[in-house]
Amino acid sequence: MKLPRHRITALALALGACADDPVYLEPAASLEVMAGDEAPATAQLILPIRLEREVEATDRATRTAELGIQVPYVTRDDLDLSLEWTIKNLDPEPGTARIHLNGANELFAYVPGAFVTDPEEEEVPPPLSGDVPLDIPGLGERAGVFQEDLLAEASLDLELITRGGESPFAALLAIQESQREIASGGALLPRDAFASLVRFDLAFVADRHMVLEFTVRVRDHRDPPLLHEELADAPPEELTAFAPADFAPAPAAP
Amino acid sequence: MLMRFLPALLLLAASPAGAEPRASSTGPYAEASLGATGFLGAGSRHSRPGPAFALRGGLDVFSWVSLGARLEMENHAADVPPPPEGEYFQLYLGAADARLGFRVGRVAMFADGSLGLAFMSTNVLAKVDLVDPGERWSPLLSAGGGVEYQLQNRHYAFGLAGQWMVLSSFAGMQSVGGRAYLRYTY
Repeated sequence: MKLPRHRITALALALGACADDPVYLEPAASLEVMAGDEAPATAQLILPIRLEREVEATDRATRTAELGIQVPYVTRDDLDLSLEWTIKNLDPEPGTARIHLNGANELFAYVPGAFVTDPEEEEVPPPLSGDVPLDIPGLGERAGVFQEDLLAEASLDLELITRGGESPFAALLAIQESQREIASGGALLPRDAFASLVRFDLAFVADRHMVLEFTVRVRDHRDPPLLHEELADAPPEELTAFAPADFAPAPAAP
Repeated sequence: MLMRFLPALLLLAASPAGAEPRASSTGPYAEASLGATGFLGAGSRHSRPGPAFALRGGLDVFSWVSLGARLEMENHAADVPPPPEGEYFQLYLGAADARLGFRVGRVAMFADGSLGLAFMSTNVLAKVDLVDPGERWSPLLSAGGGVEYQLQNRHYAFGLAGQWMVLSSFAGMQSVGGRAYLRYTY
C-alpha cells in the first residue's frame, strides 16, 4: 500500500515517527571475485532521487546567481549516507580483500585512473574511501561500515578535487571536515552548498574466492524527501537522471 | 505474564467478596498500556520481539460495548542477512477499536478488535521480501481479549490483555502480543 510521501510524513509525524528514518538501498547483485582474478569486481549504485520541484529549481537558480557558482540539487546536508558491507571468504585458506569506494555527485565522478597520464611514472591516487587490507579467515566472513562521517568527508573531498581543484592526494589524505567553504574559479562555495554523493562505484579485489555484499543506508533530511518513495521500483521517468562527467584534471602547463 | 496473574484474578472474581458488584464508571475512557509483541512465521525469523506502548481512548456506549481508537508504537530489532546488521525498526499503529465484554463482580472479561493502518519506520525488511522497497504502510486487523480488575475507585481499572494482528500489505505478517494496562473511565 503506497501513499504520497508528504502525507506519509505528516501522518508519521503525527504518530511520533522521525521524518528521517533510515532507508536501505540494495545493489542489483553482490560482487564476487575468484582467486587469481586480477581485475576487480565492480558495482554501481545510484540513489533514486525524485525529480526536482519547480520551487526548488527556482530557489536553487536564485542562489546559484547570488553565489556565482552552481548550487547542487542534492547537497551534503540533505543526506546522511553510510554503506554497510559483508565479505564472505568461500575459500578454505585465509585471504586479504580490499574495497575501493568511489562515486559521483551530480556534477562530477571521481575516477582515480583519470589522474594518471604516465602509468610508468605516476602513482594512481587513492579512492575516495576504503583500500584498507582486510584479513578474512578461511570460510569466514567479516562485516564493516563506511560510516556517515566518512562518506560526508568523501563528498567533501570530491568537491575539493573537482570544483576546488585540489590534488586528490592532498584532499584524500587529510581530514577536511572543518572546511567552511571552497574557493572555485573566483567564487566561494559555502558549506551548505557542497554536493552530496549520489552514486557509489565500488571495486572489490581479493586474493581468494570471496563475495562482497553491501547496503547503502540513507537518512534523508529534505522535506519532502529526495529519495523517491518507491525507491528501486520507481519509474525511471520519475527519477532525476544525473549525468556526472568523469573528472579529469587540466593538463599541466608546459 | 497473563498466565501468571490470570489465576489470581479468577480467584478474586470467584471469591465471595469478588462476587459483590463493585461500582464502575461508564462513559468516556482513556487507557495506557505497556507490553511486548512478537511476530509469527516469516516475520519471526527476521524480527525480534519488542516492547509496545499504546494509548487508547473512546466511549463506553453501553456497559458492555465500547468504541474508540488507539495509537501504538512497537520497536523491533531486525534480523536480516547482513548487511545491514544491528538495525531496528518501529511500527506505528493507528486503529479504530471495538470492545465487547461483561463484568462479574470486580472482574470484567472482554474481546476486542480493531481496524486501521500501520506505518513501518524503515524498509529494512525489504531485504527479506517482507515489504516492497518503498512500502511503508499497511492496513491492519487485530483481535484479542483480556481480563480487567476494577479498583475500589470506580474510575480506575487495570487489566491484562492479549492480541493477534495481521498486516496485510507487509506480506501478511502476523504478530501476537500481551499488554498490561491502566484504564480511566470518566
